Amino acid sequence: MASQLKVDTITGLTTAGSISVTGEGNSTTTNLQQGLLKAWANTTADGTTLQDSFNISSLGDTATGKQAFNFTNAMTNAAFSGSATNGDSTNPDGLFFANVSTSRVDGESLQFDNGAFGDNPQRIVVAGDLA
Amino acid sequence: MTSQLNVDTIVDKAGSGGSNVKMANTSTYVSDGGSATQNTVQGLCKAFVVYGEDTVIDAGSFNMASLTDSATGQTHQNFTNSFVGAESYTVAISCIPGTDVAERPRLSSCLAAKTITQNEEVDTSTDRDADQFHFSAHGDLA
Repeated sequence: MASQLKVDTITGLTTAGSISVTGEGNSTTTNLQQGLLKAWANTTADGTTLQDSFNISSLGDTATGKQAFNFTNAMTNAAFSGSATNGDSTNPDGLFFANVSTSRVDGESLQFDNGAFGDNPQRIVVAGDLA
Repeated sequence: MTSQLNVDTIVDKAGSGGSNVKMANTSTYVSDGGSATQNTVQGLCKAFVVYGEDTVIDAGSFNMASLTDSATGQTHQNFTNSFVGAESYTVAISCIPGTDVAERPRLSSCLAAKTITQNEEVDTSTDRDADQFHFSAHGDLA
């Protein structure tokens, strides 16, 4: 019979922020917390609206092509990983991370044809350790 | 009353297999550093796939019903379970280009049930199949 356990919060017994789960291949265990994305967001080109997001407290339109993503819960350090994707199919511009800190990361959209910054919808993900 | 379960490892009922855990979408976890609590389900990767220039899946996939090769360099990633809406998720894309060719992957369109991506040769701005394409999607499932 399938068992069901209903709880609101699962906490590590030895260390609160460390729970192991068995890997898909059944041969290893991996850390649950470290395997989760810590933030993601989808924005409009003008940098004023979060279409949808997770762990983002606010969005800042800092300059043309530049958007600041402020975290609700901060990261442990600024050496986290992630990915940034330009969301406009008509402008194949590159989107890069900048001004990375424990509480914020910026997305900067650079136009390939002229090297200038340009407004584009931005889609980012952040992976790493939360504080 | 709020319930709390303290564990070090989660495995299935038999104790020897995988982690067959069904989790409510309001479930939370304590952060890596221990100072914050946030939603578990929203932090999960909701789909991924790695495929070659023939649009054959190379290295596994998750929540990926099929791939459609709609044109040179253009692929539809069709989800098994859809997202809430077209603006309810974000994607991470990268590619392994061909030898001595600079390529850039880009997003063509996001829909609730699928994403469309393109891969472009930098020098000529023409679409080109990557040797290998990496795709993941993150956001709110329906």
